[in-house]
Amino acid sequence: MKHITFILAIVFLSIGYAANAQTEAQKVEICSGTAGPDASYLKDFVVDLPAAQGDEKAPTAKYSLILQKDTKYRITICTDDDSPGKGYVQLLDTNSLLGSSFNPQTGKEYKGFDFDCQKSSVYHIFIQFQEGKAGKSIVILSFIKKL
Amino acid sequence: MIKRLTYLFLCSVFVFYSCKSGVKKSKGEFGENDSIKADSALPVSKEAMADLVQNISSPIEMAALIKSLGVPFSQKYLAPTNHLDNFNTNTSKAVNLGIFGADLGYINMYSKTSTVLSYISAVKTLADGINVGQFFDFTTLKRLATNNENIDSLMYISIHSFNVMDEYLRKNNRSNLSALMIAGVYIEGLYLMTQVAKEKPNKKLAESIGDQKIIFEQMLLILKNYQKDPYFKDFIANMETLKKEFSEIKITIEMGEPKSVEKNGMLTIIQTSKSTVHITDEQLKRIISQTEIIRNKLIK
Repeated sequence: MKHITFILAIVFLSIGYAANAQTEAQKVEICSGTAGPDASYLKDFVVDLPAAQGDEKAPTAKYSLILQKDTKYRITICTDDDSPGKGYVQLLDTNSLLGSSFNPQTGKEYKGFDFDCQKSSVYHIFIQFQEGKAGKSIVILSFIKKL
Repeated sequence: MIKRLTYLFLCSVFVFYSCKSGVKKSKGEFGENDSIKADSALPVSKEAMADLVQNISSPIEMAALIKSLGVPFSQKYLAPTNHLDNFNTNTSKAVNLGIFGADLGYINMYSKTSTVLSYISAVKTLADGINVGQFFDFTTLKRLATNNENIDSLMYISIHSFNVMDEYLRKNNRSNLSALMIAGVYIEGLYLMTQVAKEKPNKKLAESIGDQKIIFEQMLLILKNYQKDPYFKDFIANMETLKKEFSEIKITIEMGEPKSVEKNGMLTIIQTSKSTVHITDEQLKRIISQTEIIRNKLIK
């Protein structure tokens, strides 16, 4: 009986894994679609972060990317339905904050923001979850138009 | 009962590994050994490399710039797809995979579905050649191109497939090939821009070419990480001549605080810091010429 249970567990885990692998690609495609009909997908950032422990800072996923002058970009975030925390994305230039999809002072949230880039440079995307909770999110970088 | 369960188990194991076909392969599975097998001994760590290369070159931005200038599509700028057999090393396959990827972006931007098929096939052949073909959804792309339907999906799948191939290479100690693929995209993008500038001089395009100095420096930094490899050594030597041309271009920056504008619930960040590119006709001419030399060497 133990063998049967073990085998069944393997079967379900395997099927579950395959189904999950498909879901992630689909989630990226769906999230890319939320950027709007004027947006062309460039890059996705899939994050799965643990909760902050005690007094430590909220875990942050950090990515560096090059954005080009005279270009309008859109940065969109989609948080998984079963994610404990609500994700938000920030755009930084060296160490100064340019924009965020969440304003902790007002509590206002956006599904993302457009960025009118006027300077080609290395920029940084930070992804965090409100109140340092654990969470899963997808961030999509899209091209909108040349300015 | 046990027999049935054993059968079911074997089937599930088969399903499991089929679905994971692109996830992990031992080094021995690759048809040809990469010249640099592991990233562990690299001067820049694997993590730092991954950090450097996000969105370093995108065919979309380059093609959109050309299109926004009202320049018509031209097939003559594209790399020929009729001598793929010449690319018989993993390094040459990877760099040309990037070159054809950039061409694919240019073709898609102009919705030239009649041209796209041979480029999709070329990308698939080269991707298979370095064992990342499973991430390139050739069947769907071919159907979309053949039926002349949904250009947005064609564009999405093409770009997403390249991102997945790139990520796979980097995660599997083959970031040398990822670097070459990205360099291929970059060089072909620069080639397309410079060829257009050569035939239809335009101030905005000239400045955008000069502005590539920023990306070029990052690109060279990545390539130098693998300079012990003879293919990279040669590639870098060619790129150094272009670096010399780019180093003469002056970019001035005017600093400013970003502004936020909210309209219809959508937030827009307007950057007020601004860079200005100072490029002379002579400098542009030399960049055009040098880019042509490098690109044509790569596609030989």
